[in-house]
Amino acid sequence: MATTTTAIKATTATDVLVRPSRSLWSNAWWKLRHDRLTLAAFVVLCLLALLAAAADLLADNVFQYSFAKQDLLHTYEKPALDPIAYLLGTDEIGRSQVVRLLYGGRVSLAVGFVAALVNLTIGVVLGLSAGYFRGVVDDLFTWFVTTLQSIPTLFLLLIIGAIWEPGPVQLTIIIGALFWTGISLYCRGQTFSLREREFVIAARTIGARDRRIMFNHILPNILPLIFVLAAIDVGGIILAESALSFLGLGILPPTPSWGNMLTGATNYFVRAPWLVYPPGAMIFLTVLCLYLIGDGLRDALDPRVKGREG
Amino acid sequence: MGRFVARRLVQAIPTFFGVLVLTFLLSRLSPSDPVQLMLAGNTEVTSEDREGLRRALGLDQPLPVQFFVWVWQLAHLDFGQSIYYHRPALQLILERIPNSLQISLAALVVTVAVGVPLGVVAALRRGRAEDHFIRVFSVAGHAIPQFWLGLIFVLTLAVQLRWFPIGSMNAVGVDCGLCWDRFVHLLGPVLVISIAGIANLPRILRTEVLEVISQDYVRTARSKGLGEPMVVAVHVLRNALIPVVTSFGTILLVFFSGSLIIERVFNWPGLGRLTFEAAVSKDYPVVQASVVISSVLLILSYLLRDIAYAWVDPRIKVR
Amino acid sequence: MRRFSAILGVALMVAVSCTQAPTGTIPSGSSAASAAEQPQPGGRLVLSATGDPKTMQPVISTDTQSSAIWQWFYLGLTRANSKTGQTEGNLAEKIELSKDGLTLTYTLRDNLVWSDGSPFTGDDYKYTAEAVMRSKKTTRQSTFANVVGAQDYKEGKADEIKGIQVSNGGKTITIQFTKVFCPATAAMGGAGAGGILPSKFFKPKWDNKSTDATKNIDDVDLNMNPPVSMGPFVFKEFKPGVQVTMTKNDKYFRGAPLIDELVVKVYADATAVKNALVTGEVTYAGVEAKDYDEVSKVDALKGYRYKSSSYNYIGWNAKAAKAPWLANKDVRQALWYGINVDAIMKKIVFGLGTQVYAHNPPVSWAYDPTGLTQYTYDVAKAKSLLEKAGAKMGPDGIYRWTDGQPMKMRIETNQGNNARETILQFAQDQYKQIGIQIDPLLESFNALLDRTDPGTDFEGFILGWSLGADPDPFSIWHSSQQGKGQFNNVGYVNPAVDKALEDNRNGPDCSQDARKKANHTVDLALNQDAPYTFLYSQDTLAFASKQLQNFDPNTYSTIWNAEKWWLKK
Repeated sequence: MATTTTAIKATTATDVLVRPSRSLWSNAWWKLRHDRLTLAAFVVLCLLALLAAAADLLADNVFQYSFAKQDLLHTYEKPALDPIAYLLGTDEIGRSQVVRLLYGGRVSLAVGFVAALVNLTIGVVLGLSAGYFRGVVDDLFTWFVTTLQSIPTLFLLLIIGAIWEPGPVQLTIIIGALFWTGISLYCRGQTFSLREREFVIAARTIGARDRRIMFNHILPNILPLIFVLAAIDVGGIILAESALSFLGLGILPPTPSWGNMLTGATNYFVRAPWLVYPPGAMIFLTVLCLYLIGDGLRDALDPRVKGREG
Repeated sequence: MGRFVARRLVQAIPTFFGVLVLTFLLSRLSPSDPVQLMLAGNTEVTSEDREGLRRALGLDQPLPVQFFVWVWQLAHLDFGQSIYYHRPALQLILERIPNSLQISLAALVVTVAVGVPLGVVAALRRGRAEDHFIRVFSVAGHAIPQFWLGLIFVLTLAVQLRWFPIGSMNAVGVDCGLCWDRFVHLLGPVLVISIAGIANLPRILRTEVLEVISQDYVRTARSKGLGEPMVVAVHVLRNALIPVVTSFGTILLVFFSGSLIIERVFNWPGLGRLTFEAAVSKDYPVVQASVVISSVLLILSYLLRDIAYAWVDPRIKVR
Repeated sequence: MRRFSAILGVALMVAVSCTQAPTGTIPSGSSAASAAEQPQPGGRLVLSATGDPKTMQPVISTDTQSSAIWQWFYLGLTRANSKTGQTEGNLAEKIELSKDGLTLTYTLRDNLVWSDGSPFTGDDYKYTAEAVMRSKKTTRQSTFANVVGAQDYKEGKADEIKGIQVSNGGKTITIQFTKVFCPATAAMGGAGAGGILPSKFFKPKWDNKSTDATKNIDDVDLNMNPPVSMGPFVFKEFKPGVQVTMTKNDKYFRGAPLIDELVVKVYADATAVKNALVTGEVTYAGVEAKDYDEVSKVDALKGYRYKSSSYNYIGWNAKAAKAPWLANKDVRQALWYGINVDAIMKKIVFGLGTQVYAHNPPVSWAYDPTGLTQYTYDVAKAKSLLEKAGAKMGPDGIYRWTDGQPMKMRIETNQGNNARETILQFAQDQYKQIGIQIDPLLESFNALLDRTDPGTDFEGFILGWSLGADPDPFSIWHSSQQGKGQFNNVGYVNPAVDKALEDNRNGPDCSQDARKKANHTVDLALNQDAPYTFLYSQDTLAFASKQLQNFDPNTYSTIWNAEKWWLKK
């Protein structure tokens, strides 16, 4: 039988390590910088966000068409370069599709990010509290979360949408109030383990208030992965909002949203196929980028996934 | 195993109770008045009639009392009458469940049947290009909007090319369950709904397989002299299946939520479509019944998943 | 009879369909064009619907999905001629109105039997009428407003409607009126419900000979399970969410149908129906204006286009609390001048309809466009009318009303009706140009009906009326019809119109000339007062498979000759 194979190099206090060890952060940063896919996704996403933010500017200066401008004499125009507003054709009442896509992006991205923020807030607060205080608070929390998880989310969203017929702002808040379970469970889990660590015990000994401990000590440690979950969250929210708008229960026309641009467009598939592909492709692209970024971030922060250090 | 199941069942009870509370609040807190809705078709309703109906329905009682009355009725399987269809809500739902289940079960089978082999293939391939591809592939499957995919499927493959039927469970006049016609009609919805699951599996499996392959016990099996295929099949797969089973949870959720959209796009007479139509027409009894029953189904499927999980990984039971 | 409906998609059309399933139920006989015009029996008709029927019983039926089903089984004593709308005999072969207009006598045809062989008699008619008066869910009781004894029966003071008598072994039905009721010959044929029930089957579930006004026919199980039929087809089964199946009635009094089976298949919406039509899954269906072009190009389909007895409009609530200016006639006229209906006709309706300027649609015999203002699109005129009414232009381009409030209001309509949704968005743009800000609102059809029930909390709304053959606008325009659940929800009050409506309805001169004059008075007033911005009457557009023979749909009925249809293989 072979001896224990590789000779374990005995290290003594005097040995100098070949390479300086990397902290979690710099390791993550390094991995990210070399993760071409995630970088690409990030760039694309920023581009989309920029375009959406610049919707007004572009509409006024480049396309010279507002998103609401109708022109019944030029319905269903094929994509053309002149005028530039017909870049992606026009819809059933002559509105420019490319301009509406930009504004729709604004709406979809806004709903996505704001709702994700609401998610984050609720999820973090509840998760931290449950993990920190334990006991009754935790029991209540678990009960509430498992209940929410037992109802298919889209079902719930659709029912609320159909029954309350909320406006865009209310819709965002409602979506925000439904998707936080994942984040909160993660926070809770992390808080459980972290609260027994020395720095927390130390803080408590000094007499720091609970709230301070939770937000100033525990939170910063779990923040990175929360952003990962949030990125994935935004993607899920955008998908949910567009599905809802497509069904006629989310953002209602004439406000454009990528989802509701499809409700109408499917009626005209034979006459104007250029109305069906772009909105869906935009949703796909945006969500893809978000998921890739979330994925990339997670890999970057995951100590198991190796970086350059062997 | 029996004790495990029993324990999990007991744990599910408070969850179910929570679902009941949530569902009850949903409808009672809605802006429309149920009595108004119920009497919508009546033209000569006096305010005495309204009050009488309100009292008969127990709507003048305080909320907690109403809640317990409702739960009591549920215990007798009385989910109320559909305002819209004038038939018992439970009956409507039970009629539709088998239809939705067909899609879900078929999708589960397809997901595993296609995803697992793909995963194994993916696991055996290393390299950066493959890495990237698999990563994008798995994420893309989740990123694609199901309703859009379904729509394009129907519009191009069914309406324009006539390769597939445009929807429904059977062709007109055909009335068979387990037959070719049904299979053809199932293809569209099942394919669209499984994409997310199929895309995911290779990734999960690959990571797991890679990790497991370097574990000690695999090395032990190798040195024991077992052939390579045997090693993979028996030891690796069994452990790699754990996360696959875990992902069933998400997959099931996708099926349930997706059923709403898919059933509408493919004209499938299932529970999702019924719920959508009921919600839009504010048919509260049906909506409530649908939420409660889907939750029960979901809880049960989580339980099944946990059982499968425990069976695959004996460590779980001990905990 | 008035029926409130939205043109949501097509409900039922009769069509012959040749199934394209590989199993093929149609024997592939010789395809040679030899004895080509000899009707061939057999085959299956596939129609479409965009929702399950809520009931299969006419008394409590309030929607077109339901009536599209029960109309196959339960017929009336009379029917409207499919082209002209004139009343003609159906189950009755003779209809006589006495000289004083107070007695109506129906004589039934000989040997009428239900599909199970049991006789159809006047008792069935009386049973149905009494079921209507005691029902709590019906909207048809106004038909009997002038019938002797109807109100007493309803209140439980009598155990029968004294004004309806059956005699001569069930073959003669006599109806007594308290007042002359001009639409009587047209409206009474369906016993109020539109179709007559088989009393033999329903009586054990609800007995009409009683004074118990709390019991009624509303929740009987037969409502979803028609036991027998007087029509060309008999109910076979209903698969919720999927389809309704019917088989042919050999005992149909006009002759047994050639088609064996009729299926009404349910689809999610009008687009799905269109897809089904194009792929041959259904044989006959109506299409929306925007799809007409596309479907016309399908070789296997034949197009049908005819005038409809309906019209679309934008209603303005004169009692709106948040828009007091809607009570002002000049403002309403301005709203009409301010929207380019011609553009709507061209681009949203694609020219497949006729613009209307008053209530009676072009297809009605009471239609008379003389003297009606056409309100040609004129932004300047609209603005000057607004200013004449007292509006002052504000700094943001929106007019301010006399109370200083900006003229801002909401227009709502139902989702799922493509033309209406488009008109809503178009209107928003148009009214902005005459200085009025519009908040558009899309909602479900039920919600729309709820919200636009007579009241004060809605302003503008886009809807349509689907009218019966007899011109009787009483329930829509009379000042007494503004109660909850009634149809004068815009708060229209005009004493001259009230008088004309009463004359039209209760005579005493029920001649067509007199009624036409009365209707014209109403139309002229509506045209000037502009309580609605009348838009257009859209033609009915439908397509059927070329295999369907003898099919002849018209304005007032598509199924009038269903027993003669056949499938060409």
